[in-house]
Amino acid sequence: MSWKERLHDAIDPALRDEIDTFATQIELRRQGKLEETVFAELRLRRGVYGQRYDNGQRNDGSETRTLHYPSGDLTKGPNTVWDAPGMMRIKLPYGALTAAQLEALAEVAEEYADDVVHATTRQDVQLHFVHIEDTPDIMRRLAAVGITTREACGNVVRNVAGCPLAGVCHDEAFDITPYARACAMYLLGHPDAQAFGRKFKISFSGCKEHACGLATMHDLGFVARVRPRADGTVQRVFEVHVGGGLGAVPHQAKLYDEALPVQELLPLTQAICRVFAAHGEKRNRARARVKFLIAKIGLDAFRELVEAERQKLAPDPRWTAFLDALHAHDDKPLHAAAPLEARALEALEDDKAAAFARWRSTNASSQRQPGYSVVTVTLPLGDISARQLRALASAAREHCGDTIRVTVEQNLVLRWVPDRALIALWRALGAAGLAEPGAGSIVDVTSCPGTDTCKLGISASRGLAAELRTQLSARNLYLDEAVKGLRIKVSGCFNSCGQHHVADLGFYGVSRKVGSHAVPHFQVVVGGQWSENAASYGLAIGAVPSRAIPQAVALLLGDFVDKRERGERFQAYTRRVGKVALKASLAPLAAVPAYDGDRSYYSDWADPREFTIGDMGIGECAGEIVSPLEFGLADSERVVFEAQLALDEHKSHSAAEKAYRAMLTAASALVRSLPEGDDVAPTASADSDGDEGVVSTFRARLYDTKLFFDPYAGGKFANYLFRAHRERGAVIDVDRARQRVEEAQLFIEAAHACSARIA
Amino acid sequence: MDPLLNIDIHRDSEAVAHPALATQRISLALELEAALDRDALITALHRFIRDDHFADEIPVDVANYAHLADGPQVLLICHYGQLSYDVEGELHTLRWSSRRTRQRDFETRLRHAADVLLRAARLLGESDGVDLRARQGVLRFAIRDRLAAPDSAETRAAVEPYLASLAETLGVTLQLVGHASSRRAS
Repeated sequence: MSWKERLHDAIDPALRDEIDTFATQIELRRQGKLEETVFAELRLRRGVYGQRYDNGQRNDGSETRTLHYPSGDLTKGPNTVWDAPGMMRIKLPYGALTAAQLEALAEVAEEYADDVVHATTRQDVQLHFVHIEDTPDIMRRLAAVGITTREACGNVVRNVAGCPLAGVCHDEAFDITPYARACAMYLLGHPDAQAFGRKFKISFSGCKEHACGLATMHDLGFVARVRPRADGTVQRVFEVHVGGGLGAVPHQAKLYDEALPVQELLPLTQAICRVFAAHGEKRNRARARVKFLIAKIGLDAFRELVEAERQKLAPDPRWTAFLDALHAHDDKPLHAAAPLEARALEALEDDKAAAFARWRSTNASSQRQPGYSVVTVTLPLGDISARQLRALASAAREHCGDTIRVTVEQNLVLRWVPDRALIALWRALGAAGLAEPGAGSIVDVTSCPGTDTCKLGISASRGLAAELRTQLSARNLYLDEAVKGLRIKVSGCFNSCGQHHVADLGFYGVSRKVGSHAVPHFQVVVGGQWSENAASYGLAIGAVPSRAIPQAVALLLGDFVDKRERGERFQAYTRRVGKVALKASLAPLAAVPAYDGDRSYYSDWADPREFTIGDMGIGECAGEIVSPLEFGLADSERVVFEAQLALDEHKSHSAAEKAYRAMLTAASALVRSLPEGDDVAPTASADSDGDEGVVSTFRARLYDTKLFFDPYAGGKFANYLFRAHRERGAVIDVDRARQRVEEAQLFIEAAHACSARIA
Repeated sequence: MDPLLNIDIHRDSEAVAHPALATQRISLALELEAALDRDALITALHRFIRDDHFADEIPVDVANYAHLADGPQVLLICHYGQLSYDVEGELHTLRWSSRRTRQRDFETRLRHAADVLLRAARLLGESDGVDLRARQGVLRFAIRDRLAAPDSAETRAAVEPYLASLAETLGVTLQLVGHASSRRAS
């Protein structure tokens, strides 16, 4: 019995087929029958990512060594060794989770990873140190509880983020959940969102004021608004922002539309995807995000392109179908609303009462719905262990049900907790080590994985974040109220996965040479704005050695408390004081002691090895540029491989059918790669009408034009497809089945040759 | 933790061909008498890599989760398994969890896991600042494989003979504690 067999009936058939396909692709790559670049993008689009040392090299502090894995030189992508453990990203639209999903995550973390699940700044979760052979079973076990990892990475629409308080927030215009959900479902696997030069990120926010959705730092951000109608009712609209993003070159999104009717949400998004796919940069990966396209051609020209695409789109019933069922996926409160009784508070012992009050002040807030609270479970550095996940699932089942969401600050929230249950929930969380106070405060430091697991990491962002968290937590009770609400965010490099640009105090890792040694440093970024959906970005004021960053934080905070004007906030303070003065104040900390004087400066936080940037690798964030044609041809090879397996199992009819379908898949990919003609390029499908369309279009555009003709064999290979098409449904004996499988193989080879000629 | 029952094991009555015996995911842990210094442990495990200890397991990296209140604190990630210092309430353990194995049968895998764990404990005990003191005569066993080894009497019956044999070698007796997939030899 395998997980594939065990969970056969528990997984949505489409998802099941996708995972089985991926398992086959793994096998094909292992046998060298799938090109490594194609495989890399295929696995990235399934959330299967590389991580540090996956080039098979590791520096042990004194020298770089080769990790001698059993599979030798076999790779799972360029410079990525097959056996090297990797990361698995699991996308969770708007961060939503159920108790059963928490338990499934706990199980896969325990069996296939390192017992820990990591929450990201985009409401995904990640597993680390995963073997690639285990990934199909992880996908199956997650699919059985309704989670897909599809398009979690790669050059596609990434996880659709959304405000975790949607539906319960006091300040939202309306609940963005059903819109974010419709957007995520509509774009998942959508043909118009498969040929990007880089990733594409979307976010929804329920209001303009808060930061929960960070809509203005996304490629495409939607902010909910209502506008009054003449009849006194209100109309739901979205303020649309395009071209935002952090990364090495941060861009504030531009206002595209002040009031987009909700009926236009999906078609506009689709049109923007088509423009990005058609006009976005493909070769220069550093400039392949939509923000660069808009910067290059201007917002007006971008809008013209989008509007032209919008006019071309054939209406799709899914654009508005979800509007008829906006409440279909609403949270269902498990218990009736109930106030927290005074006698329950009085019954707490003094020390417990103080601890509860401290936790409640930062980690529980009232919902819009009276009698309910939203509880934030603080996850240090975004991490939670498998045991803690199970405890949390149990607490959720008892107190609030399936109302859990991941936040962009790497925490979890439980919604619809009756106020009466707050003490019991706090106790349950405390028993699991999950009742740490300080959510959303200065001690709740956000960090990307940095050098712990990321190939691009320069400095140990998590090590620094943990150190700051420890030091600030110890002093938290005595911190001035003015600094308690500040945000600190740390990235291991300039790419800003830790979102350092939008923090009050941000840090990103850099390296500096001192004598003959490398010394880990962090650039200090000040003046970013977290509120109003990350309304403005901070700027770096100078690099400080990693070891001296806690002192730098203490100095900057101390100066702020001492020198701020009445009611002045940190961002205003940094503007008033000016970057020159702030930089000057840090100057004494920039000095690095001699190597023989204090070696601690020459290693990074929580890593005793001498610091080196020699462990950096080539990141997979940019994915691989693989055209839909290449994907199609790779898929045809997968199908013909399955035909061979069917032959081995003496399933002649199945083998012949698969061989035919492999040819159809290749033909369809070729047809779709041609410039658009008057006819609509069809896709290979299970229905006979679709097959007919593929074959007739292939005949018209590739056979009759002789584009598909081999220089020596002419149209011979195309006739294999035509014959198989004529014979579909006929009884096939084993000899004919074998012959057809061989013909399919030749047809696919001819398709590859044709592809090269077309290119 | 008090044992719930004592199990009398007869080596000859071993179950055969149970899927649990094909598992790669064997976990053995020592109970520790006191918490370990995380920083010292991180340094020691990095040194393990540098000095080629456990080279057969192909050590890849040291993972630090010392900020977790409950769960793994520090791990040595290897290709074939993970060595972890783990905290669960008052219980502190040093655990080896195999993930891939080269050994062909369950008994050899089990003994290999015990060998790796005990070697690691000895080396850590000799490392600067790692005051590792294991509770004498206690070894915790689990299979982290819910497909091959569900928490059941059948799984228990299948693995019991091998555990007994290992216990005999180590000079301890088997006791069942907690649930079926977690054993404690003492």
